[in-house]
Amino acid sequence: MTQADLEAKAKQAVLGYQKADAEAVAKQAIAEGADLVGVIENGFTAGIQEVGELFAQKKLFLPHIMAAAAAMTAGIDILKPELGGKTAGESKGKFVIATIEGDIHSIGKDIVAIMLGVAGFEVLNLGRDIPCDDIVKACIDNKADIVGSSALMTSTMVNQKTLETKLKAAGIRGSIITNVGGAPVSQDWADQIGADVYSENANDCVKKILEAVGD
Amino acid sequence: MKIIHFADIDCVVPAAKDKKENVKMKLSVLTTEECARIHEGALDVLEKTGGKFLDPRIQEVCKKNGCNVDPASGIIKFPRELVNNLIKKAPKEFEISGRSKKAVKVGVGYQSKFANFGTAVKYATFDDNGKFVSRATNVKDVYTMSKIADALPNFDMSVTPCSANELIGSGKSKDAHEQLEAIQGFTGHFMSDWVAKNIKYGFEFEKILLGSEEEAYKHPFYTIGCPSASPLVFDDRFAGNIIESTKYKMPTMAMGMALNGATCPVSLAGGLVVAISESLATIAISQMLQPGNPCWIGSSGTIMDMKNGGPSCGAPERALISAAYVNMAEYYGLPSFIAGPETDSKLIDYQAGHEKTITGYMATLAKASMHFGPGMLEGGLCTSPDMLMLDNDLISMMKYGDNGIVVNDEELALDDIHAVGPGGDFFGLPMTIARMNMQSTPEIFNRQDEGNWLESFGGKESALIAHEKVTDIIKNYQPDPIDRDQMAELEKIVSMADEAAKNSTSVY
Ligand code: B12
Repeated sequence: MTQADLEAKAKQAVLGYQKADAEAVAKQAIAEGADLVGVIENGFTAGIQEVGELFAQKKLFLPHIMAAAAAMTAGIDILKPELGGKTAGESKGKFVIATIEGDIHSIGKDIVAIMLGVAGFEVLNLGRDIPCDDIVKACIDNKADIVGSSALMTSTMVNQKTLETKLKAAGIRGSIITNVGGAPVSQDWADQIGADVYSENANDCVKKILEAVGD
Repeated sequence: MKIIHFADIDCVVPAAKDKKENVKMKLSVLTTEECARIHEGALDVLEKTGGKFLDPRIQEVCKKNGCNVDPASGIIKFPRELVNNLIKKAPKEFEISGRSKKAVKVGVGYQSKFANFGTAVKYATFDDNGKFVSRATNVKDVYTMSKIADALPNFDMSVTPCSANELIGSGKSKDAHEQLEAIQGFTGHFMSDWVAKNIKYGFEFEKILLGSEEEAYKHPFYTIGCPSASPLVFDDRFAGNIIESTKYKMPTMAMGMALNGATCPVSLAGGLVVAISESLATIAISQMLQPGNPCWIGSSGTIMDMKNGGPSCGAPERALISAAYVNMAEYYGLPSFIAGPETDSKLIDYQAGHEKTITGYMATLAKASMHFGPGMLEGGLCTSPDMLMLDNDLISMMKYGDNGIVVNDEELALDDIHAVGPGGDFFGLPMTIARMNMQSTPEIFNRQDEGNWLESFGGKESALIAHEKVTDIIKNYQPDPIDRDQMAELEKIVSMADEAAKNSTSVY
């Protein structure tokens, strides 16, 4: 199969929400010694960007973007170990995101993670109910540029403050942008705890973080 | 403009019958056969797939009771018979009591009762210019909303109405301060927001106000919500809440909260299977921990609105799920506690009125034991005193509708019809006079003609009239006061909670 065909197939797997197809084309690309970075950039990433645009235009909806992202991730996960140090695309920055300790609300955070990925950030989604120490460690281990925390309950928001303290204690607060979100969270709260950016929703997050990283 | 005083209004809430005879007016969104299929589906899920229980204490008690426990993954599988037997141990009826409001019985067959909505993070009301605005909630709002619910005739229970946002990160025990305000404002039973490690202070509150440990065990003030994280995950919060609350014999709220399309199948029946399996596991564990502990089977389930990207509290699907849960509760013979009058609207508008009616009335007709939702705006983020005031009217009207039509000799009134004959009127008849106060009588909703309405209410919409009335309640209503010595003791408990909060890093 030609490089162009592989890329088209990869893109189609994302546009068609076909995880199995995405995995198959990734494996085929490896087997055929294709340009893997090209398959990612012009295939999987191009596909998710198209879905992302249609999502922004409200022509596609949550299930579509979730399924497309799952197909893209499945394909890229197979290709990643084979890249041999090469990076695919120009990353806008490394973004570690998690729902804060004690809180299991994950839907909003996952949407934000996907939209950041679509916008070109390298996103590490740690999951929900993540201890502050684990978030700090993930930031250090991955040399994150931005860390986003989600809190949906007034009883767990306090851990966003704890995270600020722990990032300071770990000596990395100066080199990382902190971003807070979640329904009860506000600009006031961000100011109060000294977080850099508050975002009301996924679009607001992408916009403000692009600004913050100077893009 | 004459402000109508709360006490001036001769509002007659149709006497809530204690035991419901009117079974013909009953909404069944599920047949008994369908309930059985959902139940079997839930048992199948619990037996074959099981749930993930992160806390070793829960794993231990489940193992002791004959569940199949895998400590490494936390997966617990429940034998069918075990679940069936444990559900039967939960009482069919129980009384919910508070510090001074009359205790009420809950169980299958009673007319619906209502609790105000919680836990909001925003408070919305009219400002001095008549503009409806929202702001973050604070500890005083907890008192205000609790006391309004206490003043109004339709609230037998209260959910912690909102959060003390200003106490977040203050180093103080936010929940203890919230509960201190709540208990001064509302004198009945609560579903409270005590965090697990502080439920013991809730028990202290009960002891102080009831006078003894024995009484506190017998008449708990607090129902504790023990929701799972769908699908089938039971986290630290669940474990802490159920372990601590059953210790003190506080009723367990076994709440299903699955979101169709996101955390359970998009189909309503599939969603019910997931939610019911979680509720059953919760009731089973409550019974393992404290045999005979009172349990509500509850629902806050709804759809994930895929086009909007969030759940909906005012959707007809929400109404169907709540009503279905009530049918399931009847199938089990357990009291139900479900999402009733709720809305996604940000304002007190047509949308709010419509959504609250469809969600509240369906569950009322299904005979939900207890509803939550009144006062809610914005899909569960906001509470409003004005909305609560109007919801009180909505509840009166729904209860009225739920009474149905009685047909017997007296009600057919043939003698009167013959006596009056063609062309007469029925105004002065003894029956009419005797029933003056038995008609539906809204407190806020206006039935006057335009001229009279303009004259007495200045042409104001119902929300503004509600605002005037509720402002009066806020200013003048005094909940049954707590005696001074008891108040000092409660404050001491709150100080203890504050002290403990200083030295603690965990939420639960
Ligand atoms: C869905 C839901 C759940 C689901 C969560 C499922 C899941 N896997 O996520 C379930 C049923 C499990 C659940 C459980 C509970 N919930 Co809940 N839940 C909700 C609900 C209804 C919607 C949340 C949601 O998903 N919204 C849709 C998404 C898309 O919106 P979002 O989360 O706000 O996210 C957007 C923005 O906030 C922002 N954002 C979010 N995160 C981040 C992160 C970053 C970095 C950035 C930049 C932006 C950002 O962008 C997102 C996309 O636009 C809210 C009420 C509400 N209307 O918000 C209550 C609510 C949050 N829950 C609440 C509570 C109390 C609970 C429970 C304790 C049960 C209970 N008693 O009700 C348990 C807690 C369990 C636990 N240990 O955490 C309360 C919190 C109250 C308070 N004062 O703190 C709320 C407000 C409801 C209420 N009024 O009672 N809940």
